[in-house]
Amino acid sequence: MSSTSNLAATRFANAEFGTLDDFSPKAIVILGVPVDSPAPQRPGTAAGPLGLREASHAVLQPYLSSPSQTVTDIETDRRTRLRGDSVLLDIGDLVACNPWSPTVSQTVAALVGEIVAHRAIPLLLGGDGRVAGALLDGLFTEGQPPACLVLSNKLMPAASTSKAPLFVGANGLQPATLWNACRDAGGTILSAEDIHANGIEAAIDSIAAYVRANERLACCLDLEILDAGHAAGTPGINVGGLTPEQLMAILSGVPLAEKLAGIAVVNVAPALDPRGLTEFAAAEALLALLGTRLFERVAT
Amino acid sequence: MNVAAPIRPVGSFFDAPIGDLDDLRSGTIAMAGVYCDHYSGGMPGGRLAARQLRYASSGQGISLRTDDMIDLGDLNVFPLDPVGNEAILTEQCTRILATGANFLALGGDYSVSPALFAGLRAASPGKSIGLIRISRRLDLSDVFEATPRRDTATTRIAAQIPNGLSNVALLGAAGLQSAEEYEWATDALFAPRTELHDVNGASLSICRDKMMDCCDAIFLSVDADALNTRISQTAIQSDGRGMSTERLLAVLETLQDLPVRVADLTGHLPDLDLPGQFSSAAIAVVGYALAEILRAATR
Repeated sequence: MSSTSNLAATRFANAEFGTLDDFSPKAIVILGVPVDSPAPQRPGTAAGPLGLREASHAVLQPYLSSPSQTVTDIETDRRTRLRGDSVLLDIGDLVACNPWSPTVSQTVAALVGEIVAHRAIPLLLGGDGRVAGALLDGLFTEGQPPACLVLSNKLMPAASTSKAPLFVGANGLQPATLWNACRDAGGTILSAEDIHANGIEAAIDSIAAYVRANERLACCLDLEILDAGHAAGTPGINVGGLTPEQLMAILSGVPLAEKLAGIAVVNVAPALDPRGLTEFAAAEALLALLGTRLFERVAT
Repeated sequence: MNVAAPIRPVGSFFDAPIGDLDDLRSGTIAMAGVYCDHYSGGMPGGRLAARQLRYASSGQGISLRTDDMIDLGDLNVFPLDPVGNEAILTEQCTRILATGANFLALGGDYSVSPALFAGLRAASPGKSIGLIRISRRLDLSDVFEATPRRDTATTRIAAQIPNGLSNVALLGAAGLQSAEEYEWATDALFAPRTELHDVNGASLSICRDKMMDCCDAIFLSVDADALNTRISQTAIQSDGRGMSTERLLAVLETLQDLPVRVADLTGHLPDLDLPGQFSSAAIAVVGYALAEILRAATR
C-alpha cells in the first residue's frame, strides 16, 4: 500500500481523525449524520457523509498534490494555500440514526451543543433536511442564538421560527404555515427567481448586508437549492433552481467564514447522480463557505 | 435466406476498415482502442471509451474519408500489472509505427500516454521528439512513487525527452493548479485555456512554430477533460471551466502542419454520458480531427 492510499478520502478535507474528547477552541468539528430521507422523497442521503468526504478530496486535489499545498488559479493568477493552522477534526458518523426519531434529533442537538460549548464549530454532513433542523436546535439552546442563513429551495421549518432568518434560493410551492412563520420571525426570502431576474451581484449585496448585520451565523446548505439538471443527486427535484456557478459566486463573494457558528450540509444522495456532480458541487460549495478558515492568500 | 433485413458490419472507428498490422503501410492511419483505466488517480471508466466511440462514430450515415484508415481493434493490456502494461503498450505502439503508419489511440486514461510515448521514442531513433498535450491539468507532479499514478503524465513523458520540457507544449490548462506544477510549466511552451480564445493569438502560434522547429516527430495527447464539463461530461468540475468542442477543434486545426506521428485521446468516460451519445459524439469528432492531423502529417 502506498503512502498516498485512498484511505485518506475517508475523512473530510484531509481533517484529523478525532473523538468527542479532542475538541479545541475554533476547531471545525465534522460529524456525519447518515440519515435517509423518508417517503415520498427519494432515498439515498444516508450515503451523503461518505460522498461529501470523498468529493472534498477531489476538490482539494490540486492543493494536496502540491508539496507546499499552494495552488495558482490560471484564470486570475491568484495563489492560495491551505492554512497550516486551521483545525479540522472529523469525529466520524453518528450510528443508529435511521430511522430518524425525536431521540436521534435530540442526540444530534446535544452533540452540537457540546461542540459549541467547547467554542468549536460543528459541521454536520447530512443526511436529509432534518439534520439541519437538529443543528439549529443545538445552536439555539445557547444564550445568544446565532442568525440563520438558509441556502435551500425550501423554507426550512426549524429556521422559520428562528430570529430574522434569511432564506436564499427558495423555489416552488411552500406551505402557508412556513410563509407565515417566516414573516412572523421577521425573515427575508431571496428566491431563486429573484436571483435569476436581478442577477447574482444583487443577491451577493443582499446576503453580504445580512452577514454584516449579524455577529454569528448558522448556515444550512441544502443541495436541493441547485437545479436538478445540475445536481440530480438529491431526494427532491428542483426545477428552476440555482446553477452551481451561482451558488459558488454567492459563497465566494460573501465573507461568511469568520462568522460561522455552525454548518449543516444536507440532501446529498450520491447514488442518484451517476455523474457525481452533486457531491462535487456540495464539497466545492462547502469549502468555499469555509473560505478563510481553510485557505489563505499568498502573494504572487 | 428469405429475410432481407438491413444488417451493418461490426462497428469500427468512423466505419473504417478493420485490419491488422499486415495491412499497415506508410501513409496509413492505424487506430486502436485502449481498454485501460487502472493506473491513474481519476475516476475509472475510460476503458469503455473505445467501445462507445466506435458506437458513436459508426453507422450514422456520415461520409468520412476512411480509405487510408485501419481499425486494429483494442491494444493488449495487463490490468493487474502496471509495469507489464506499460511495456506491452510501448511494444505495440513501436510495432505499429515500424510499419510506417501513423497511430491514433482512442480511449483509456492518462496513464497510457507515457507508455505510448515510449513507443514513439523507440520507433524514432536519432530524432528529436516532442509532446503537445491538451488537457485541463498540467500533470507535472513529481511524485513518481505513488500508486495510482496521479498527475504525472506530463512529467513521465518529459523524463523521456533529452530536452525535457523544452520540447513540450501544454495547451488548455484551466482552473486551480498546484503552484509547483504551475512554476515548472514555465519551462515548457505554455498556452492556458484563457489564451486559446483566439486561435490566431501569439501563445498558440509560438507553441506551434517552436514545436515545428525543434521536433522531427510529435506525440499529440488530448485529454477530454480539456472540454467544458457539459460537453465532455467527464471532467468532474462544477465550474464549467473548459473549452467548447468548437474551440478545441479550432485549436487542433492549427496543428495540422506539424509532424505528428502518434495521437491519443483519453479521459472520456462514457458511463457519465447518460443519454449514451451526446458527449461521445463530440469526442468522436475530436478523434476524427486527430486522425486528420495524422493524415496531414503523412503528406
